[in-house]
Amino acid sequence: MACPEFEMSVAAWLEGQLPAGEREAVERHLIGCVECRAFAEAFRHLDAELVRAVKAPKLSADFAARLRQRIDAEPPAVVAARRAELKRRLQAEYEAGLARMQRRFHSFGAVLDVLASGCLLAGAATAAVVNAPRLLQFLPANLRGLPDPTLVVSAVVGAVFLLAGGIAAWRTRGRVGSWV
Amino acid sequence: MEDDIRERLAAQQYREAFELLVERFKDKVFRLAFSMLRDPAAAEDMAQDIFLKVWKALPGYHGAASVSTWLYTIARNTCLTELKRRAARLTVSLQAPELEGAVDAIPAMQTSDPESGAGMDTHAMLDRLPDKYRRVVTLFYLEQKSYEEVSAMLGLPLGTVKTFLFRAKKELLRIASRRPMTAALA
Repeated sequence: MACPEFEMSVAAWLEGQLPAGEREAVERHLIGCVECRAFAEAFRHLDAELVRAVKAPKLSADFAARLRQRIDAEPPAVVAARRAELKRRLQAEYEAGLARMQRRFHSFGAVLDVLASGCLLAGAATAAVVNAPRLLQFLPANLRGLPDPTLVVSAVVGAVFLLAGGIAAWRTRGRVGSWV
Repeated sequence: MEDDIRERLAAQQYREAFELLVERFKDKVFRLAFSMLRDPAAAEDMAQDIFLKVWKALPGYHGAASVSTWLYTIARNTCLTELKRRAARLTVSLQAPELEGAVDAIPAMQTSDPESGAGMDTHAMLDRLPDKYRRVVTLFYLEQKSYEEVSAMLGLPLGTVKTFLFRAKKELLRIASRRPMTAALA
């Protein structure tokens, strides 16, 4: 059983891996320690046995030629790289086009929203103006003496238009903004 | 050592760069594959596959790592994939019911029992080491005892290579002390 604190140093000493100072310390220790000497001897034998046993097998003489044949059967590396680059570019263009289409579609939808809201409000306003005299009958008696009933109806309709337009514009901006 | 390869790659002369790469590294890649697969024929086939992968990947090499580091990484990963594939195949085949019992009847399986006392050579001892130790030991002796080469080829820090090698040798001595050994170790 070798001294644990010297085992690794003894192995490094056998491999000639120790700096001068440490080498001398190990050599001094080996002179006085039978166990470490036995350990070093066993390591030396093992090393010799491994040198003898572990031999590199030879690569076949036609290795490079066979490899060349396989390479020639493949598309040239540069062609493969260009193909990959072209594929990547086409993919990017496709995705950009798709995003553009989505933006246009949703912008168109927003315009339709505004038009539909406008038509609805215009219809409501027209109905209100046409029926203003009849609507005024429902007003309390003390409010019927206002200067111009049509002006009042127009002011109310105008306010509704303003509010509806604001809401439509806000909705449109929110929708389109989320897709841009 | 790699400057000429890098120059050709920068000039997009892939064929020329590849020829230099094969000429310079084919033996090392083969030995690396051999240290991992432990079978010369399989290692040679693997080396072919590795270089084919390298050929396909060559235009994508941007020089972040050295050419040899890049090549050894591809080599190691290809070998590890093959080892995983083999392990999966072995697991499946040993689970077949008709093989139950048959494995125990194989004499080689019986003599590999640690207590059997059957004769054992250095290769059999190496086979009993954990993979990570066996690869380091094998490659160390295949590469003329160069710690630096083993470190580069296996992608391990130099200190780890030294530690693994020391532990592997201690384990080999422990195995040797428990059974009759070849003449060199007796």
